Amino acid sequence: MTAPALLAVTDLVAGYGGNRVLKEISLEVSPGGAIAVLGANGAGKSTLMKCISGLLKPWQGSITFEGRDITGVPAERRAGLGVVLVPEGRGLFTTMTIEENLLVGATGLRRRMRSGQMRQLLAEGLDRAYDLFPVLKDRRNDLAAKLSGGQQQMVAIARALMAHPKLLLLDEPCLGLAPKVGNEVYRALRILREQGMSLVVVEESTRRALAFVDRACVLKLGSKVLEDDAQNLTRDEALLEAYFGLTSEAKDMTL
Amino acid sequence: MILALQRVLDALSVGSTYALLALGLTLVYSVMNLINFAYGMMLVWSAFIAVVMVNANVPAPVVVVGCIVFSALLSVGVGRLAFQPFLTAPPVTLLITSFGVELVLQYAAIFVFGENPRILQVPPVFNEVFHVGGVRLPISELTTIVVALVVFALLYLILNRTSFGLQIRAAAELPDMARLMGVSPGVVLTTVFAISGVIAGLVGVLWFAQVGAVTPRSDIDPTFKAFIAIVLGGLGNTRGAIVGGLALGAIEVFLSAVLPPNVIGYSEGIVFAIVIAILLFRPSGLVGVSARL
Repeated sequence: MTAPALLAVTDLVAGYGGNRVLKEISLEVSPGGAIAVLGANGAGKSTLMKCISGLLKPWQGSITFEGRDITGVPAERRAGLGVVLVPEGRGLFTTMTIEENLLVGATGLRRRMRSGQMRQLLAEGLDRAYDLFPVLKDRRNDLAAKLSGGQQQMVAIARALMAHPKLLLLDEPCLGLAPKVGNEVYRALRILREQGMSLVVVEESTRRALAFVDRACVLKLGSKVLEDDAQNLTRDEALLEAYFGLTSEAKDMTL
Repeated sequence: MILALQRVLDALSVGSTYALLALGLTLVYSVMNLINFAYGMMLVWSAFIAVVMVNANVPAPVVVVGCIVFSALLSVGVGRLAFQPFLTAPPVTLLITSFGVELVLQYAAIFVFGENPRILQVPPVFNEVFHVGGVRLPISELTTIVVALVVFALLYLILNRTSFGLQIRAAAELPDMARLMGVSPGVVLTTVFAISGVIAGLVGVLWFAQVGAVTPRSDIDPTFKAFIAIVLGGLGNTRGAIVGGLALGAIEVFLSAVLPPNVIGYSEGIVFAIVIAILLFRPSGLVGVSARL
């Protein structure tokens, strides 16, 4: 990569209690780039996302964002810096309406804004979210709990966008969704890429992810065992499946 | 008919006090799962501050505001010093910590004010009674009901119409998710302890103005009433606190009306029995346990 990295993860070691989950993972995302983190269940993908978003403190290694070491920055400050995670399972506030969910998403901006600026950013953010997912606009006063899985994922993504992130982390954005709905999600992600946003997508299924990103890496039991351009990996998809237990879209179809 | 109306008014007044108490407690519970046994001491300290100010001839409105400010500061101070460091600890740690805080505040009060009851003088108007068509309308009861309504309304607006309120609700439902969105646990805790303290200050004055006197050990009664109310209504949400408080008030007033004189001394125990009976049928309370603040 020629351009200086937007996100650089270096020799990251992390785990829970005495259980080491990530073993010296390194990873880079270039500005405007999109990378997929692939791997079977238990490979450490979600743990890696927790470290990058700040929910889990790594034991060793460093995370830099825009050249700044953010390893010790608490989770609640990272959204304001421009790193936002859409977690596995979406994490919607089910007791709130869709619009309230979106408004909470902008909290990270408040630290640095005056109230006038903030109001404008909120209005812009809502417009952008509803442009991307028009169905949410009609239902904005509905409780998030009432939505279908696909719409909930839309809210989760739209909520993350409210913080005007430079880097969006998505942990299994299509989990539990019908393939058609999953394609909808990726359609939206493609629009975000065109707008210049950088993305990290965590997926178990390879095909859709590889078609979307420009690079991908594969985790196995907490170690990075492979990293390459998406094109090259697409050619070796059968190999990926055989060696790393990755599932292709065929499994999604049966969901 | 008039008697029934009278009972309803009494029940509303007693119930509003309990509902207010329960609100102050449930807010903190909702964001940090803290069963705060030190809560009653906030009321006691607020009442002592009121006694001191009244004895210094401070005008009543200033006394009330002074108590609210003092109690809010005390609550935030205790929250940050004693509870926030244990935010990620198991709830039992927080529970034990709250016992410790209760004792510290209690002995601090004994040290400063002594063990003897202190009379809280109230303005004469507070003890006056209106009569409307045979119904007694004591100013103290009306004040309690109005204060409760105002607090309910303000709290509703804060939780539903402000950014702070949204952040509190987010942190109450999914703390980690809230952090990912930029919600600072420290800011939420400070806000919640401040609101809890404001309510405690207000109820402290109301409660001990009606009791007439305060001692450093007067905290048990309001603390227990608040706990019963939130368990009866449903843990961790504002509707549960309000419904539970009002229901507890209604049960108490009903019992005092129907129990024969020789049994009335046991009414506190009978109230508990009724509450337990209700919980047998509705284990998660009248409103139920809901993540919705």
